[in-house]
Amino acid sequence: MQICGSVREKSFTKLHIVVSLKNICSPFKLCIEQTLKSQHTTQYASFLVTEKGSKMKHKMQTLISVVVTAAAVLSLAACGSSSAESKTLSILVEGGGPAEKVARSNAAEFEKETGYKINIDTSPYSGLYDKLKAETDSSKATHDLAVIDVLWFPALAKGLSSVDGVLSSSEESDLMPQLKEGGTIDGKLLGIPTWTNAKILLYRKDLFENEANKTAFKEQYGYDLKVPTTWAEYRDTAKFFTKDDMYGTAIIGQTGADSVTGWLEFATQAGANNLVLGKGNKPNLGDKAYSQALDYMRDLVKDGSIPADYLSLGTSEISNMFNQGKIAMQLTWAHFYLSSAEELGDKVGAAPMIAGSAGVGAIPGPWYEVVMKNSKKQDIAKKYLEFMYGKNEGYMETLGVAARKSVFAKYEDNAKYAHVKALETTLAAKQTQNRPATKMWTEIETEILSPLVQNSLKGANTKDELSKAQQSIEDLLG
Amino acid sequence: MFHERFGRNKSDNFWMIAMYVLAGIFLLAFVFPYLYMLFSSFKPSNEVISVNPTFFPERWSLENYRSVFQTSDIGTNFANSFIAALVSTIICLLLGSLASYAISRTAVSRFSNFLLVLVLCLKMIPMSSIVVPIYGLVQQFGFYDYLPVLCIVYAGVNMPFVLWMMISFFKEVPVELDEAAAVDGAGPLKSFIRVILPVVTPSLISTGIFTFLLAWNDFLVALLLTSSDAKTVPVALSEFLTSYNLDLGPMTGAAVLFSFPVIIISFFLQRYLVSGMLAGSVKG
Repeated sequence: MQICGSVREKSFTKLHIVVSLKNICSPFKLCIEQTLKSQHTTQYASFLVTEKGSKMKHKMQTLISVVVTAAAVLSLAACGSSSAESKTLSILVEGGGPAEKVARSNAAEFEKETGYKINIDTSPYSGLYDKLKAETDSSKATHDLAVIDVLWFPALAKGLSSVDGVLSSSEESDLMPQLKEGGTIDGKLLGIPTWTNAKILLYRKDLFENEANKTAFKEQYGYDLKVPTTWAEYRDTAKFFTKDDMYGTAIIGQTGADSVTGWLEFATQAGANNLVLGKGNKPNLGDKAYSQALDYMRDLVKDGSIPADYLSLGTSEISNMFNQGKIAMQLTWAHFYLSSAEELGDKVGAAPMIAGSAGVGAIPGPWYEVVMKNSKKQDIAKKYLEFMYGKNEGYMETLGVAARKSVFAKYEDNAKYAHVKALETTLAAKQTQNRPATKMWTEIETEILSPLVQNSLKGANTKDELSKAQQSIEDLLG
Repeated sequence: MFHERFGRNKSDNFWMIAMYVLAGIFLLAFVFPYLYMLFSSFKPSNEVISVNPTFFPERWSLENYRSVFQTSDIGTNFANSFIAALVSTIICLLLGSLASYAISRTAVSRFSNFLLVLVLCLKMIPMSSIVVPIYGLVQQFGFYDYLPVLCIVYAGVNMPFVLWMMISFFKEVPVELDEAAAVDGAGPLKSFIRVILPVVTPSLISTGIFTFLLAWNDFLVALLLTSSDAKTVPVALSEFLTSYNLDLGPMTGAAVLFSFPVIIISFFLQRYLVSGMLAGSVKG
């Protein structure tokens, strides 16, 4: 096989590639052409296939032949698999996460039903967003579908297809609260919910049932020891259990989104509505609910009922401490119940999120399955969404959370899933609300609100910090 | 030199011992994280994330290593990492040595110097700011998750490093060698291959080692350009930490395995590494 060619630039818009294709099998020749066509080079290039190369340009041709050969060899895999790709749906999911496990366990059934193979691409959490954002910006979809965090909708919206009509109205009414609103941007539903999640209260059941603890608590606080439902009870109980090498609870002080969510949950319980960005997209940090939430967190710090290194703790670290018997209560994502029960057995109990003056409130953490707008397989991709909606129970079995009310109902009396009822109550609470759907959220969260929470926990004046943050957000939004 | 005076008097001995103690402390500080990871990899999975951690395992276990091989495609990931690092290094050395030889022999040209500064400037741009456009290009051309493309991208991003390393080596080779080869009738390419290249082989090896390690340790480029078929070990490692799971036990096992090639390379080729690092440090 011999390939050689030359390139000369005739104008800025036209490039001639002269290729000598001696003894080249026609599929290979076709393959080069197809590849170059598929890579949108035909608008710049024309091909002249000749039997003789020019001797004068021999050196140039040799060089070009290397380039052309490399391009051709690189294209072989794409050519070879082109027919297979037409019957393949590519989905991008977080590697090692529940979405990957559920997608893999159902791929064979989907292929059997439709003839379409599911190609599951995985990426760590940090890479998922970057890949999808690049696909959106370049208007070329490498993937047909993806499973994404609710927070990414505003930034990815222009690259996602509307999935209105994929679910029937009865199927939509089977979704847990706030899920439809969370996936709706500018009136269009952009994703089918896969699961929803929220913080609930996990506690050491054995400590609450201990008779000596009950007596001592009543003597100390004047009321019966019970699983806390309010801020005041939670604070008292946390203080009470801070003894014998154990802390009553912990708060998330780690730099980043985790601590901001923890604070906003307290704020919503204190009565904050339209979190951070109020009506007309104007920041509303002047609302006293935000300062009350910070003050409550500082009270827990002052009481000493949380670990001293609270500024370095996130949900995973706190959950680990709880599993190792160092913490009596934690406000954490509901799915952590399964791993805690695995470690501590029936010593673990689950209850709804605690309530401030405005009642129970939490921030949902749902994920959605989306179709990329530039995918050429829209119909079959939507069929896959419908198929996966029917497999929603898989997420409950894998992660301990799901999106459908009927799936929750099926598991709420299952002793292995004692967190399900608590999660349902929390999600249905009137103060439970989504974070604002704005493209700027990540920036607001990590650059403005995270330092605000950390500075306040370290002792800075909360009113000043809130006022500074308010100004910074106003400046950022212009 | 300090060591030459060792043993002359008590004061020298004291300083010698103090230096050894200090060196030992520094060594421990550098080696401690690795040793902690190494011993953690032999702990049972739940002991790895203990609230009261111990340095040595209370119970030795191969559970983490078994888990690595059972729950992930670590073998394929290793093969991908090795191929990507090796092929990109070969491309870099092949093209980089030709280019740097040419530039070193035409250093009087203003254009060469400008080119070099430009290349250095390109290397100064943070990888995170160019990797997303690279991803855009790669997926536009339909080569996403394709190992040969990863090799080419690594070769591209590591080329400035190779150029700057190799130019300093080639400049140290006397021009008289080229002239002698020319007198004997060799053209530039022949004199490069037959005369110059053998002289700089040790430098070529040390540059190759560094280039290999740059590609071997890369996370960001592989994170964006690969997903399943071409995934490398650093990306596979990161998937032990998901937004819903913290699987540190198997992660330590995989990290220890990943570090072995680097340790082996460093052990057997350390003299080349040292000569490479000190290149150009003494002039005249």
